[in-house]
Amino acid sequence: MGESEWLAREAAEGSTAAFGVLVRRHQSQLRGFLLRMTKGNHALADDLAQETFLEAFRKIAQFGSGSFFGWLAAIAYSRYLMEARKRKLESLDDTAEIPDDAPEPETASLVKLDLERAMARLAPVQRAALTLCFALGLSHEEAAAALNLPLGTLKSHVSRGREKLAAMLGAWRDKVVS
Amino acid sequence: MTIDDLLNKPLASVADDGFSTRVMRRVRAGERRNLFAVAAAAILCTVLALLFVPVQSIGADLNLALVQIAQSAAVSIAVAAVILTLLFEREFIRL
Repeated sequence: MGESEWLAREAAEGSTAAFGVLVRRHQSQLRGFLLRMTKGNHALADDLAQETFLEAFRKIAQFGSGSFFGWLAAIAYSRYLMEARKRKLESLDDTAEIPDDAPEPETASLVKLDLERAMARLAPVQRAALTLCFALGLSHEEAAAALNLPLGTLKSHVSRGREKLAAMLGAWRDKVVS
Repeated sequence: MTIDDLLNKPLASVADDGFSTRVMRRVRAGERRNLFAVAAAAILCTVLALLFVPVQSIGADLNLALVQIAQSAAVSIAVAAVILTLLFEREFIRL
């Protein structure tokens, strides 16, 4: 049993201290994930992260086994979708058009910034799938469970997202990347 | 550097800056609210029960039961046995 899993069991038995350790342990990753989902909106990302942790505490007994962060990400993603629908933040379908104005950075130091810009142009589900599978290191199975998608659909979102990113970043990739 | 290398870069670390404390404060406040709600419900149920329960007849029955217990030979023997056991145990420890 992993340490987070053990802490979750303690929290389910009423230990708020154990839940506090889980919050401290996962806050950075969760807020980072939500920051990317909200395209850099710190206030909204933090609100969503707080609500995610509160819901996680209420439902902690429902956490079975596996990746605790994956379970948190599932709550966070569903909260993000609700908020996005409420605020009409963006189109939630996965057919977002690739814009023509692809970024053209002059130096490699801007690569990260342009990745974020390109990510922001992806459909939310692709942004979430790529972030969970790559930056946060979840397995495809864990990411599919977090996003409530069949495994095949998740893999297709990852693949299409990568292709779109490559197309968006293609304009400068030849300059910066050998 | 490939697209995969870029994507594999971990997300930038987000400083806690009191975030965990704020979350835990809300968690504990929620716990207190729940506790208060349970206590209030328990008190309300007790008050309602006292209003509807025939306290006087229960009191009379209880009195009768206590008198019967006090007059019971079996209970008297059991009490005597307990007292003797305790006394014996005390003496045993002293030795």
